[in-house]
Amino acid sequence: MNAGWTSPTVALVAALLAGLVALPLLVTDAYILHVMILIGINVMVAVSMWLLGVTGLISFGQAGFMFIGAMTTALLTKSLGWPFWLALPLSALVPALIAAPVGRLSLRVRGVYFFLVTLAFGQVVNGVFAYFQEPFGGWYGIRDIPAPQPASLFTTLNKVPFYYLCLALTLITVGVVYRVSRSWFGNVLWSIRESELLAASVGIDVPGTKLIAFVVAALFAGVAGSFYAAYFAYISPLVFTFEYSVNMLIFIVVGGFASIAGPIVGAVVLTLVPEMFRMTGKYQLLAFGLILILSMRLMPQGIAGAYAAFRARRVRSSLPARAQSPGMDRET
Amino acid sequence: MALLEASGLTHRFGGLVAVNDVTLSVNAGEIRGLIGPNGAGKTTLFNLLTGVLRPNEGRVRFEEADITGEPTHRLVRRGIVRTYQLSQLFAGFTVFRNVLSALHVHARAGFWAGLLETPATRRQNDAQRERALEIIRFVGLGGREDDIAGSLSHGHKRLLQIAVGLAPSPRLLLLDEPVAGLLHEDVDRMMALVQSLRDVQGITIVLVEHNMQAVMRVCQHITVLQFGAVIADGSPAAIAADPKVIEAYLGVFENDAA
Repeated sequence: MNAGWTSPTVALVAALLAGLVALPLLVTDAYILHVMILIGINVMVAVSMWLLGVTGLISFGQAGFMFIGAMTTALLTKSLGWPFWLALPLSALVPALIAAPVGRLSLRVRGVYFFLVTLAFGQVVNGVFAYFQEPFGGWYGIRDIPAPQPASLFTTLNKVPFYYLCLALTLITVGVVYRVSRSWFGNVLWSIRESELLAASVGIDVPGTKLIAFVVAALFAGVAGSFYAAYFAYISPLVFTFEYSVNMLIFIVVGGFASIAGPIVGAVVLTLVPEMFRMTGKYQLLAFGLILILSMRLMPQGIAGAYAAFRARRVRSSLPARAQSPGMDRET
Repeated sequence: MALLEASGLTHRFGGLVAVNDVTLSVNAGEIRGLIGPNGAGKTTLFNLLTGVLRPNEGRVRFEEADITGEPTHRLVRRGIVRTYQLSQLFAGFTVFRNVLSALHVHARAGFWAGLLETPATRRQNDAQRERALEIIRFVGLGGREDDIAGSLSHGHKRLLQIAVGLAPSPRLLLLDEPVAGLLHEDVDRMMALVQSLRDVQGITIVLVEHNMQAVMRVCQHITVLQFGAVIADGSPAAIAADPKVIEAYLGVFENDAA
């Protein structure tokens, strides 16, 4: 079931990985490492949102789950003095545990109503954390969240350890989501997208499957949130907003829905673009908007979709025509 | 022995009684026809039997077990599979992937199985590929494995629906108008296929169909519905001669009734 690996893709992924691991040796500019870390956080959230998105559901509650993860880390490390390394797994677990009942309720409704329920959930999380000064810090948020251990390594001035931690967490997230998306379970998610009615009538537990995807998405949003808290040392309700969830959706749409490359490419490009246009000052958002519109017009299947189509054209011109389908090809 | 038994099934949509006190018993090895004019409640009855709808009243039993209101996906594991009236398919998938996906209940398909794929999982799931090809050949779609389902002709879509319905290895297959919109020779082919499902694979079949000739030919036993209630039940010959059935289909002249 792991078909579809063409040799240029393998080479590309290998080169990218090598480049990412070697980056801190080549680049000493802290700003660049900071941007890379931002990208890593966004990739984690976008990829986890994509897994649920495969079934055709977009959850606008991702920022809420990320906030829960970040809050868990903040409270455990700052108020209780736990080490980050213990807080991290718990910060993944808590959003996942909360996602289970939230998912059971919200997955009863479909389409736009699901957007609305998850949106409301995100707002409720935000509202609760903003309302209670104790212990959540209210609108001011929580400052001075301790860095991971050892403290001598994770200092404010040295971004390299944070970079590697972020890289590791991002690779784990992407690896797990990729593997699952290419497995039979992943195919089940695609089947549900194609036809829920038929999926149920061949024995697929549609609500149960969606719930698992929802919980897994929340789990990785929690991981991203936990890292966010440790890296920025500051969290507040102004960070994990509805707009943040919308950004994640934009990443997926611009990158492309068809494969996991979509949310990754989207998160990378759309985190970089606003940074590159920073010098345009007040026109930064304008440029961002323009690029969004252009990419939708020119690449309706997303950047990854456009690349796949380009590769398919090249392959087709050199080989006899063959159906291209991800994952569940006849030949393994 | 009765494989499927429904007793006193009633379902209302608001004030409309779509299915009214229907009692039905299907024996193992039968091809049962379910006919009736438009709006007679055939599809609603199917939905009640397959867990898509929960009846307001009445029970459904399968192999003696009460399955009333059990969700569709669990009924599939018991051996009850249905097809849909409209060409419900995984339209964006290839023919092969449609059937492979429909083999779900035979696969190790869980989240953990996917994440921690063991050689055993892989072997088991690879075995399903062979099975998918067999089923595709059985329904006569051999050579079309890589075609996208949505681009198939209407007749081939119908065949693929049967293949998808066969994949979970049903013991009872409920077919909702499998020959609707098919040309004459395709109707014959489909009916021969339905017959062979029973004869070769031993699957009990309940068939909703508008095409009377087709139903009369393959079914030994026909149930007629009108306004949600059973008005006749018996052999094709008895049904064809039943005045209530003729009236339901052809209507009756005012002066005749007088």
